[in-house]
Amino acid sequence: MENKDWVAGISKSDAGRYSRQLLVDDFGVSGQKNLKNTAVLIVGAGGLGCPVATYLGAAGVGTLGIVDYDRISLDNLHRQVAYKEDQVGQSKSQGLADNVKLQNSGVTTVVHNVSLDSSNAMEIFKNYDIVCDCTDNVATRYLINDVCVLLNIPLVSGSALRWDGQLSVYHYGPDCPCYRCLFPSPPDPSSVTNCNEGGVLGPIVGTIGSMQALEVMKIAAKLSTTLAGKLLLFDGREGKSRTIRLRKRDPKCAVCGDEPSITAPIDYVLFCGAGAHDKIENLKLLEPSDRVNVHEYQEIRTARKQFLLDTRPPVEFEIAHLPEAINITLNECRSLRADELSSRLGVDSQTSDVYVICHRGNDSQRAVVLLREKLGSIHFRDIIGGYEEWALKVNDEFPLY
Amino acid sequence: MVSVKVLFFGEAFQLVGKREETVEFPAETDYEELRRIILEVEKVIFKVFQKYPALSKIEKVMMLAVDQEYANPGDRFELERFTEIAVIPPLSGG
Repeated sequence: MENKDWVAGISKSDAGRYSRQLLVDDFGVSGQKNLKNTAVLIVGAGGLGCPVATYLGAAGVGTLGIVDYDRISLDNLHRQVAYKEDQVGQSKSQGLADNVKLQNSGVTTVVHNVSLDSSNAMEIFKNYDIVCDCTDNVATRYLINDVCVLLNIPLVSGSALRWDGQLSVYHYGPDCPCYRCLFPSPPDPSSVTNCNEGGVLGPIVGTIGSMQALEVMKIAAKLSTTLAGKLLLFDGREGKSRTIRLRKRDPKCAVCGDEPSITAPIDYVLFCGAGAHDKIENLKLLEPSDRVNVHEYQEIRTARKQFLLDTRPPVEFEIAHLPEAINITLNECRSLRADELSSRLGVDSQTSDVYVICHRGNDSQRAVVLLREKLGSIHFRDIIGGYEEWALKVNDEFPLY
Repeated sequence: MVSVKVLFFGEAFQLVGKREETVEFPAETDYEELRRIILEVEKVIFKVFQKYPALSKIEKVMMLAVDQEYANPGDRFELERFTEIAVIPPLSGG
C-alpha cells in the first residue's frame, strides 16, 4: 500500500471545517453530505429567519434561499440579530444572504426579494427540498402550507409572540398532518395579535429559530426523531416546554386529504380576511359622532380637564401616557362591572363625556363598544389613531413605539 | 365531577387573563362537552355570565390537548385529578 492512499468520506476542507458536527453520532459524515446536497428555503427574514439562516449557513447547507420583500428597520434590531445598524434601510433578504455568505462562502444563497403570493410561490418553492415558515402573518402561513403540500415538500414551521413560541414539522411522512389539518379555518382577524402589537423578546424567536434550524438538519440527515406530528410549545416566561402529540393527517383535509378541494394556490387574503403582512389594520367600528381626531381632543383638553380612559396594557402605559389618562385595559373593560368601571375612572352621575385612547386607535373603538353597553349615560368617544397619531400630529416628542 | 387544571396558551391567556385555572368537569366526558365548559371558563373565573365569552373569539382555531395529546371531535375522556387540559390557539408572529 502506498502511504499516500486513503479512503475519504468527505473532503479535507469539509472535514476540517465541520469536524465538531461530524463527531456527533447520528449526524456524522452522511448527515453532513446530505445537508450539503439540500436546498432550504426560508420564508421571512425576520426574528425567526435570522437564526435559521445563520445556523444553517454555518452548518454547511448546500443552498439557502431567502424570501422577504421588507427592509431592515431600527425596531427590528433587538431580535433580528443578523443585522447591523448600518444595514437599516437595506433589503432583508439581500442583507441576510450577504451575512450568511460572509460567514460561510461555501453556501449558495438565492435572494428572493419579493412578496410571496399565490402567483409566485409554486415557482419559487419547486427548487427546494425543505421549506421553513418564518413569517409573521396568517395568510402567508396558509399559502406556504398549501404550496408545500402541493409540491410535497416538508415544512418546518415556527412562530413566536411575547414570551411564547410554537414549533412543528408539517407534511413529513404519510401520517403527518399539515397546518390545515389542525386549523381548517383561519382565525378571526380581530383575534390575531402580531409582534408589532404584542411585542416579542429576541431570545424567544432566537430559541424557536434555532430549533427550526435543528429540525432542518434532522430532516436533511434523514433522522426519524423530528417534530413531525408533534407541536412543541415553549413558554419562555416559566422556562417550560411541552410537546403535544398531534392528530394524524385528516383524510378530509382540503389540501392534503384524500380528495383535496385545493389543487392550486387560492386567494389567501380573501380566505383569511387579513393581509399578507404584519402591519396594523385600521378598524372602523364606530360612527363619526363617536370619534374625535387628535386635534379635536387637543382643543377639548386645553379647554377643560377631561376623563381619558387608556385601554393599553400596563407595559405600554408605562412607556408614556397623557397625564389625565386612567389605565383600564381592554380586557378590564370587558370583565369589570359598571360600578367598578365608574369608580376606577372616578366618574359620577354628572359625568357626560369620556374619551378613550389606545396605541393606534383599534382597541379604543372596541372598548367604546363595550363601555357604552355598561355605562349608558356617558358618551364614550375614541381618539382616532391613538397615541401614534398624537405623536405624529400634536407632540413629536411623545415616544413612538 | 372532578377538578382539572386547564392551561391557557398564547392568545387564550391574553383573552382569559390567567395562565391556568382549575375547572370542574364530569369525570366521564367527551370532546364537545370539554369545549363547551372551557369556552365558558369566565363563569368560573369571574363568577359572571358572559353573553359573548372572551374565548369565543378564538373558538374556530382553539386546539385542545388532554394530557399533551391532541383532542379530536368525538373523542371520549375519563378525567382524573391530575389530568391537564391545554387550550392552544395558533401563534402567527415571527
